[in-house]
Amino acid sequence: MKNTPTRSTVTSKDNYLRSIPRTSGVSRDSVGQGDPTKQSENKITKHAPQAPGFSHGNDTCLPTFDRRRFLGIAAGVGAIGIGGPLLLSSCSSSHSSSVAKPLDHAVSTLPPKRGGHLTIGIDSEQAGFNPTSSPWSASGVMYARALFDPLTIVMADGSIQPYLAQSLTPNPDYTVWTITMRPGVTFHDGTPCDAGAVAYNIETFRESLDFSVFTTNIKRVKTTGELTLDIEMNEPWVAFPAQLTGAVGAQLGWIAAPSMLKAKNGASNPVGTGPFRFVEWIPNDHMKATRNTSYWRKGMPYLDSIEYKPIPSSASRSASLRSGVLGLMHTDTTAVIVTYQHNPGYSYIDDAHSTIGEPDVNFIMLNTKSAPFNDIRVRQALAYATDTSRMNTVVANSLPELATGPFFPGSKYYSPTGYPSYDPAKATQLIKEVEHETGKTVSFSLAATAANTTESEIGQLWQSMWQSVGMKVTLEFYDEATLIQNAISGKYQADNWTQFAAPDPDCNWPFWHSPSFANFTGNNDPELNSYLHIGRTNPDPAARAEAYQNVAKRFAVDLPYIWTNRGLWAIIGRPNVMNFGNPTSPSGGKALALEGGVIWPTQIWLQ
Amino acid sequence: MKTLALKISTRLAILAGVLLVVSAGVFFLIHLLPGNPAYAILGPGATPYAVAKITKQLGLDKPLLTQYVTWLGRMLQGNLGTSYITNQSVSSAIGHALPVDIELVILSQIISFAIAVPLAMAAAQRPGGLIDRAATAMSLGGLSLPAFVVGVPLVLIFAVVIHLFPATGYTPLLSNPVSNLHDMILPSITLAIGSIAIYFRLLRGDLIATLKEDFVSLARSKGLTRRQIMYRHVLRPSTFSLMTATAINVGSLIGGAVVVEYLFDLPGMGLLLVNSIYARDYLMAQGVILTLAALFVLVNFLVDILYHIVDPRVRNA
Repeated sequence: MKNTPTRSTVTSKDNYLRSIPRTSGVSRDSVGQGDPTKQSENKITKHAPQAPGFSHGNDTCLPTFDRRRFLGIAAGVGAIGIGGPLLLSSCSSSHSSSVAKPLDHAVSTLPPKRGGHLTIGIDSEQAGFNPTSSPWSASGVMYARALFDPLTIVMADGSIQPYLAQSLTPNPDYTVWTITMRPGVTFHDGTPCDAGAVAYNIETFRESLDFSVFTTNIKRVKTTGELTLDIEMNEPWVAFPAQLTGAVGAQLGWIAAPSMLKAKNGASNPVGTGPFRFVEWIPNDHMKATRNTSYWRKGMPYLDSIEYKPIPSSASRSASLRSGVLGLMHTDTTAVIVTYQHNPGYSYIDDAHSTIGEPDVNFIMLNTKSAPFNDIRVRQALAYATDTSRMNTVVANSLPELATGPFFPGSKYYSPTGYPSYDPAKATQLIKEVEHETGKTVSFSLAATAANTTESEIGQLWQSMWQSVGMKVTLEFYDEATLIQNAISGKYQADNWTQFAAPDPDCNWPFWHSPSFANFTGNNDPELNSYLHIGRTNPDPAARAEAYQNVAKRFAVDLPYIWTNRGLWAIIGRPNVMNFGNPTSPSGGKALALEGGVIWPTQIWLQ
Repeated sequence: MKTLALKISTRLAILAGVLLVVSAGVFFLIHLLPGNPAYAILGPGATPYAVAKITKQLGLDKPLLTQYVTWLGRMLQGNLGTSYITNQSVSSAIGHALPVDIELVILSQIISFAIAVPLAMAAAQRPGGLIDRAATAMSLGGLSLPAFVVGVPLVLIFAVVIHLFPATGYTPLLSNPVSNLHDMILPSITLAIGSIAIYFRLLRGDLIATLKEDFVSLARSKGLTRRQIMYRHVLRPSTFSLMTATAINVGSLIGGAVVVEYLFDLPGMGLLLVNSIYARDYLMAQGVILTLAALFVLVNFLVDILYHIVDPRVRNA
């Protein structure tokens, strides 16, 4: 499961598994564009840790067009299968890249114009719009941000602020969070978005077969007034507001009209409070919505209507943008990203250097409960035998940072992890030791999706590296549904995987803590559990940061994941699409522009 | 006329039998696929309890034969069921996707015939001549090129560079016919390239063979012009291979144009089928395959009827 995807299925759960990275390119222009109304505000009395800041996405740009880059582009393009035009356009645009910068329309200080229709290209279709029963990928969250509002929002500095909620306040020991809703906010059907509606959403989410594993720490939901409700926890939950941001993997925060949640066909007829009202959905073709004229953020949105088109092929999405069919698109395909990074004809932002929360990470997931990876020496050998730098060059155009853990330099959760560096001699020695002891060749299968050729290329690369140190490796390719099913049921040995983007590392508790149905590796480390517990319960930001640094260090010891590189998302806009990288909170503060491939449509306008 | 009616009735009965066999085959084959739709529905938060509950809700815990009989009963009442994944009615999804393919195939066949037939006639007039050699070489190229290789440069030139046609997208015909045609030009040309090559080669061969027949010599001796001979006496008896190939081709293209649908982002049957198989959306996949099978059989049935109309020898056999 990699993030270089040309996939179309309505259940792109690999996307769902990504949580939420953050952006960087938005800091090009520091002048924000606040909500005209600047409503009275709005504080989370104590919120998730602050991040140190973020840098420009352009830092990753390759300065020249040389042979290596050409080959990289060719490899990437070949991976997406239909690369001719992309290759050509890549070459032409890359040629000018050594001197050119993309347009800076992503962050505009011009007065916004009202009106117009925007079509956004997304990478996959979703199963529906019910936030309590349809796990969403990045595309699903794109839909959601048009139709619904989350209770909280991730700010550009990494803090979590109220959004649809007016405030969130914990009790002294963080075992009860009081949510106060804004007065006068209504759903598109005219019903009030009050405490009762929020309580109904959270209760429905808790009872959902899809999401119950994510809300085990919620003990009780109690409405205490027309606009206030208390969420009682089993144990302190410091990072609870991050769970309400509506990011990929943090879906609890989306609030839908109870009438929609109760309706039999509610999942295909969304009713929210969002900036756009649902008009039409033809699965795998488009979703259209029109401006919510009574939106609670006065004066917003600026667009008259918005349309999302799932186009699984990155190359086709790119061609559609160039031909004017799309005004905006998102992509996580590096072969496409390199064609826009320095292209003066388009606006561009990415999350290459974002340090907010946690980014998506690409890795090899190991089943530590069965042979051969129940032997730590084999996991160590695999880590020593994996040349991530080579993979990054050959398959990912050397764009993403290499990974040695779930966090990256610049993040407060990062510190050197002691993760094994590439050393094939050590790997060979360990494998020989295991073989001598067991009398058997170390053999296993690596599973990946059959969705695109990049998966196959990466698999072959790993296979050649690992076989060179004495392991016998079989490649198996599955459709995503089977791959995920095998992971959940533990019927795998090693999987090519992408996951973990989140506004706060605590969102990954179900995947890292043990026991948990969602801990696919079966890694059971009491020390790791204790650090996760500190991260969840300790309100001291420094203590939390240290706890997650220790989590990363435990991963480097336990090695349930062989880290490769970070996932990378970019948003590209045509010249007339303004301000897509400049969202604000209701109080006018600068919000995080790009999270896990998702942007806000509220502040976008057309020139 | 009575014979024709009898033949039609017989063929219709066979058609129904074929569809029944196809439905059973599809149903059991698709359940042989590894994977459970419950996992696709639930995602990574799937617990054993949730999987069991969803499996029961969908009726997937019942014996396969029971599931088939239930599905067949509903299908005979015109109810193809509801998608496990999107909760969309299968009939509705097919209703959206099928017109895309039908239009795509019709347009591509019009383009194919408009190019292949005149070209074959010109080539057959002088076998080995300049036109024949050039057209034969080009048809070889057309046969060798997969759709995505043809489509990619078309998108690059006509959508990205010239901006004459959109790179992707589909407007329903009834919603805006002009926009619809605009959207469908590039996909239709892409799909037509292969058909042109096949039709040209078949028709050229048959025309050359027919031109050697005695009745053509007689026509020449009567002083008819080449044009008259070609149109009045040669073309019609030379079209049987073409008709057969067209029937097979059209049947294959409906639902088989998945690469073109993917490239141009057309919401057709091919993509619907692929997506539903990936998601283990059994009811959707069964409905789509059954519809495609029915269309395939129906097209071939219509061509059989066409044989009766075009060729008296078949009619009187």
